[in-house]
Amino acid sequence: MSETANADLARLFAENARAVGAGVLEAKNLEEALALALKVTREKTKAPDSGGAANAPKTLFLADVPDELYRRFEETAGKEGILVGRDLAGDFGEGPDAAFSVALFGISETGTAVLRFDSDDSRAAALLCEIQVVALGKSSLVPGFGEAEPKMTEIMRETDSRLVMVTGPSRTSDIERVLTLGAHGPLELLVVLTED
Amino acid sequence: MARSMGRYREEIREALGDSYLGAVLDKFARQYEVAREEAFAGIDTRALFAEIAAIKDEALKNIPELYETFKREAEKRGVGVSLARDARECRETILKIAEETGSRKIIKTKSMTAEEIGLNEALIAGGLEVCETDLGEWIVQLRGERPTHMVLPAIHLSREAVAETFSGVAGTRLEPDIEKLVRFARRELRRKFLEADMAVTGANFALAETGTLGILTNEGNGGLATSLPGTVASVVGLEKLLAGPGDLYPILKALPRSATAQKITAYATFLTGNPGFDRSGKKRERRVVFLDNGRSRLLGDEVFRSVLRCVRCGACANLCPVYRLVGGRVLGHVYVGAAGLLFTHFFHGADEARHIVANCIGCEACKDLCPAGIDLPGLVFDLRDRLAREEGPSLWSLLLSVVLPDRKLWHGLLKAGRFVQKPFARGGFVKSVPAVLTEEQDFRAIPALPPENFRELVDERDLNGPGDARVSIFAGCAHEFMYPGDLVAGVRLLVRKGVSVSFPVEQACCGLPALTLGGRKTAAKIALKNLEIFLAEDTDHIISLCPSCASHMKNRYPALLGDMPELSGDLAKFARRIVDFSAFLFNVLKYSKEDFESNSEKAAFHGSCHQRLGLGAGREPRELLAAAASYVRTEDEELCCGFGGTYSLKFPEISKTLTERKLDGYERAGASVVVTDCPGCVMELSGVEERRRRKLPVEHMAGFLHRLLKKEGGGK
Ligand code: SF4
Ligand code: SF4
Repeated sequence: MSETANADLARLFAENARAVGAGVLEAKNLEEALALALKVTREKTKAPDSGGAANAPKTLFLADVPDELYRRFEETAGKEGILVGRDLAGDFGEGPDAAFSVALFGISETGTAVLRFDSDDSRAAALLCEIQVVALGKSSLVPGFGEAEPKMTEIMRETDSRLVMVTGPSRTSDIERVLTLGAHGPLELLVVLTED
Repeated sequence: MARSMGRYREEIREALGDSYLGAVLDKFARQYEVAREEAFAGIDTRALFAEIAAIKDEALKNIPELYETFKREAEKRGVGVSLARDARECRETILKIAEETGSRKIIKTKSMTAEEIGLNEALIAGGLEVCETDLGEWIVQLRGERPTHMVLPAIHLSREAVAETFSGVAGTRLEPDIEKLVRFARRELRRKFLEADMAVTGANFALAETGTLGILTNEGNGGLATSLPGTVASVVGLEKLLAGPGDLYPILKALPRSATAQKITAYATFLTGNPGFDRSGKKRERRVVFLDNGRSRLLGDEVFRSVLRCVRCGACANLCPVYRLVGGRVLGHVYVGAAGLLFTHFFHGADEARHIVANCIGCEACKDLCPAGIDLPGLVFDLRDRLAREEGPSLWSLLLSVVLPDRKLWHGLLKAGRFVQKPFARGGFVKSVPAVLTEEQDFRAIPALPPENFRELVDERDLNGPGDARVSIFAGCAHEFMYPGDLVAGVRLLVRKGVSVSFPVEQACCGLPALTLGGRKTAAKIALKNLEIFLAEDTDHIISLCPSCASHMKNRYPALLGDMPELSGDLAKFARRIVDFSAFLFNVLKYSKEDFESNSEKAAFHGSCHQRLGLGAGREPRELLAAAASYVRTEDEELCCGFGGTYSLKFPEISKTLTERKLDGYERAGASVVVTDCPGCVMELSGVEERRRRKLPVEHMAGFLHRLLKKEGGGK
């Protein structure tokens, strides 16, 4: 795809994702995206009613990150007193402060990140967290459902797959139809568009 | 036990008395209409909905095969699949799964199918702890109520009511602050998610080719329920089966837009296979229980199969004038809105459905909204017809079946009515209620039949204009006998612009009253007769000053005569010729400011349902009003007036409320006259206004325009 077409898709994606309450940032690569995830975890103020003690360590769930990168970040985070993990059996209490995962691809028309989770733990973590951070490669963006279809079909055909289209943070309008973000899932969704 | 009509009417009165409910549903309808429009902007909805209808129809043809394929593919991937024939079998299967897996704490995501079979009650009776996790569902569960909307289960409740309910759970007083209430639920339910042994979910899609379940949620509870507990059992109606992933996207595009005016829900989760083991190394159980519960029978039903296309978006409730007024507890049982009218009958039986099926005005507001292209109002008529055949027709229906097809008899009766009412007629309205109507009907004055009907009033000179355009008039009963003056005015408006008008004398009723009372056969007989009469005329256009007649003839005759394929060409020609009166005046005859005397009328518009939805005319009548007088825009111009012919005899309290609200709106806006294109609406609005002794006149478009025409050059 040409560079301008790609930039258009990225612009459209950001516009549509923001329209449904997601935050959109840019980063050079996966490593930078991870650094941003660490930053939002660090800066997150514990909501007074988020459960857990106010002075408990902050937690970041990392899914889909290559081993070497994972260990590096575990160490960096550890120095700041942030707890990193990749399965829920650890110290996440009622859910991590933030959860990071890498999107398979994105759909610009709706501002959707399509995620393929390798386990139910990482799928649950992405919902139990208060801030969901998703790294999304700009070159993976497609215009609409039409282009998404073959990619998704291929994965559904596999023996075991968990595919989630995520569009904005979790929400409800069940009380007086007033839109409230952060129902059961994340209160915030941050999509980090990466160059590669 | 099924509700009696008396109890049902009582529920209606209770709902009408609930001012919170009425206000909130009304506000919702207004906002929904705009938001939906925006969400579908730039999308050819007709084509999209037709595509979905075709996908669903194709799937519905192959349900047994799709079920087998799904079962094979899912089982290959470690997911257990079974089929429950009825509600009881389904409840037992779920209980057995809980028992086998030693599950005690159950969390549920929203599932209309589980509601349909009364699953919660059964699980609780089986000693299990059940907690709904969809916020609205949890609220109604805590209150021991049923959801009153398919998408917004707790729409009938205020934040104060929710705060009170949650305070009971918290054991301390909670503020009625929505964000805080949502946070409270998040915290409470989070624990339930983490502690649960088993989840019971619904699904939006079951993709046979890959054995995949698709679940759409906004809150994220669908994802948590299917990832945290060791056991997940999904209850899925057979109609959710689709051939494969390729069939998904049109529905994925239309469903969230229809349901909540979103381009897509926050989460669309597609699960294939069984991941094997959970965090503690315990084996994960994944089961899908398909539910039949009458669906197979419905699949074999040529007329009603299409209701199984329903994707549960709830749109058909949102703009329904009856739903807007009384909500889902009245307009439904488990399923609500127009879909509820039909589903209640098929899934919960004729007894439960009887009064609900009667509670449709036939306004057609739901018809074009359905993303699955289900002809909801048409099927409601068909269902009434079936009920009439199974249970014997009502007295009214029987009477109409004899009288309506026989023009001489019918017209003779109407003429006789003129003399019978004479001693009571006063100032255009009958002085006291005719004996056939009850006191409850007395909220509306009944117009007196004028001394001459249309045939007696019109003469040859009225009919023939000098021009080339040739129009046949379909009078309709209301105009022939009740408001012939308006019809004469309408004819003169046509002739003044040179139209040559003909009036086939053999014509009678259009047949709609028979159809609404479940007399399909009578309606078909009448349709055939009118078709013959009007095709013999061979004019360019057929015009009726009653949009209900015109829309019925244009849109319903083809289905009514569907068993005579040899007529399809004639029917298409006939339908093409039928045009809306105002649209013809504005678009073809080019009526404009120059045609009218200057005046000080402040004219408000009431758009008849059938004019807008059946004939596609809405702009033209307003343009005509603006040309002839000063047009006063008002809110809810196109909301149903509540008449609906025989509907108002059955549910006078709903009729009355709808009509009075409309009239109040016009009075508030300072209108000096209300103009509408439909004689039924004229009768309803003017009759109610008369009875409440207010003075706002209501006129038919034809009479109104003719009254304001410039005198010179024609228009006697
Ligand atoms: S036709 Fe009108 S009254 Fe009947 S269900 Fe549809 S919207 Fe409601
Ligand atoms: S019948 Fe149509 S509009 Fe009504 S809920 Fe079903 S899909 Fe939606």
